[in-house]
Amino acid sequence: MIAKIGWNNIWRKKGRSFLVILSVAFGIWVGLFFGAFQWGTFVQKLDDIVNRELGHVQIHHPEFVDEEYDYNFPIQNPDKVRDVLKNDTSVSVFVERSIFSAMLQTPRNQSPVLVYGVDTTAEQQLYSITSMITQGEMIAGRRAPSLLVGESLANKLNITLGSKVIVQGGMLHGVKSFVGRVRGFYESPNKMKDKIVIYVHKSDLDTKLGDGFTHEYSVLFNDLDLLQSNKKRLQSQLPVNQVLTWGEIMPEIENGIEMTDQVMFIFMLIIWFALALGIVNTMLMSILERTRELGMLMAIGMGRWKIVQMIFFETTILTAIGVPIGLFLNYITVGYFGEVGLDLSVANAAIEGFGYSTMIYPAMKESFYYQVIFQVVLVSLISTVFPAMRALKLKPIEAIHKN
Amino acid sequence: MNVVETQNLEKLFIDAGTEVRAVDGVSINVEEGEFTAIVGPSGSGKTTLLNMIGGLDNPTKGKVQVDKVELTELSKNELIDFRLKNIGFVFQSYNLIPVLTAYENVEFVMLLQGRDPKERKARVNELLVAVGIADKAKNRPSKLSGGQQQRVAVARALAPKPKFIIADEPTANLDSKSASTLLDIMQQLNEKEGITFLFSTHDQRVIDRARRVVTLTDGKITEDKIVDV
Repeated sequence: MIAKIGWNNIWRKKGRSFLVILSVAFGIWVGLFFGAFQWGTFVQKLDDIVNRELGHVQIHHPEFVDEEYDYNFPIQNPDKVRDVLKNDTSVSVFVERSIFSAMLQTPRNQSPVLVYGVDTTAEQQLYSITSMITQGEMIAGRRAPSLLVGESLANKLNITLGSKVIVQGGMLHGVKSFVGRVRGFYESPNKMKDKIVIYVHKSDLDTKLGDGFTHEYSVLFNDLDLLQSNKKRLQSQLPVNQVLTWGEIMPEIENGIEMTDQVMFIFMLIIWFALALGIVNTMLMSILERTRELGMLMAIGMGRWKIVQMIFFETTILTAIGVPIGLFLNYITVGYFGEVGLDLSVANAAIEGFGYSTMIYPAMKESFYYQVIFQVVLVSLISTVFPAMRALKLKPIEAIHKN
Repeated sequence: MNVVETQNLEKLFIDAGTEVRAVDGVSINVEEGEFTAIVGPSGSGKTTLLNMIGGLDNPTKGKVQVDKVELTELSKNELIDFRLKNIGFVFQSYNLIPVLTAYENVEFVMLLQGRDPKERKARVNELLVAVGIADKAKNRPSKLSGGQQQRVAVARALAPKPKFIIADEPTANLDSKSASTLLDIMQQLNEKEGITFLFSTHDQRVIDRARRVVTLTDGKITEDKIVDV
């Protein structure tokens, strides 16, 4: 009967009850959607930067990074590195690259670049360089090495397909340079990269420069959760080289993720606070309007605990109705934007600054459901404590005579 | 046997810094089966006295016993439980639960008492017939007239088989016909089933039916007379 009274009380003021239901639904929806957005952003970043480019760890000469990718600091004892990586069962993929900083010169312009000497076939294990090509192609074995240049860099330097360019770096035996021919343009999700990275076949580079240097091993593990222990093990096996995690190589990405977490936490606090205020206000109104009735119930012998039960029952029902609505809204929106993507090109500059894609595809994790539903239910119940306390403080004799 | 006994009952209020003695040393005994009206002008302390007898309010001084239980010694929760089991209330403005039907309003107190469903059903039906509202059992209070609502309130008060019923101005909001019907019902219940009624009223129609009339003036009993009906 208490449940029945509670249930009927809910529908006494439909508008007010719908307000609470909508608040709960909104809380669930926004909470889950932003969780999905956050997770989608994280996954995207990982995919754009880590899985497709950096790798989970990279191995370099210990001074290579500090010396700003200088050609003079190649991997030491690369054969051993290759053996260790081949025999390590935690490693799923590794590629070797020759990377160095250089100056790209055209007859009229020049720009600093990072030369990526890659084996396009091996790189397929991480990502397909050829799939990024928007114009032209990248053929190995030409006399003038084929270069693949980012479209934005090409525009900046007025490079056209077939242009001859000079690539000049500070090299081991004095300044060396080679002439390459731009045979393709590419566009990647990482706009920052497009402006500075040029690709060349490592085999062509080895032929032209004659050293056969490898500057980087990029490694993906089977299980990202074991990143730190895997890193430690590799480092102990390869003491003359340096093993760095992706977070150490690009701390700004890790910081960006942490910052996003903090922003989202504050955002969620605001959402929960608003939800709590809404529920407190509505339930308090509901109790104030029923003061006389509650007084009568106490007078005829309804215990205080049963009054509290009734009030909590009402909130629980409102929450129980709001939760599936919120879940449904979330299902629709995350489903839609998960397919279509959220275009954040409005904030293009800032996002590009971090070096990742402006399209975000929200993605759900099962744990979000538990977390957000638990939080909303908790906020709803906590918000009911104050109105329930007010009800408990009523004196039947005063309450009955309230107008 | 006395159902209610009070000794030197006092209730002081502070109103705008002034001490008001709403009930001033009232000693009264109510025996089982009485049909008693406590009368007096507004502010004479009728309702305050009934509230203390009904365990809704604490006296400032004095004692109040219901069925030999000293109410002033009970905790808040014990008082709620005591009211549930021993005292029926009929309020001036009916105070039914608006979201329940007439049937459910009467049944509600028995549910709080934990009575079994069969007993509840039999008792509720019996009471609704007794107060002449059986055909309105499924109506919510909003679909009942004032008189009908007050009859449901009487049935609700009777449902848990209390020691006595306190009725605070039960006819104040009713027209003559409804008031007369209600009083007929209460009188019959009193005479046939021996249910004790204690009214506060200044309604002459109630006073005319009462078998004992206690007059309160400025919180004191100024007259206590048995009426030959």
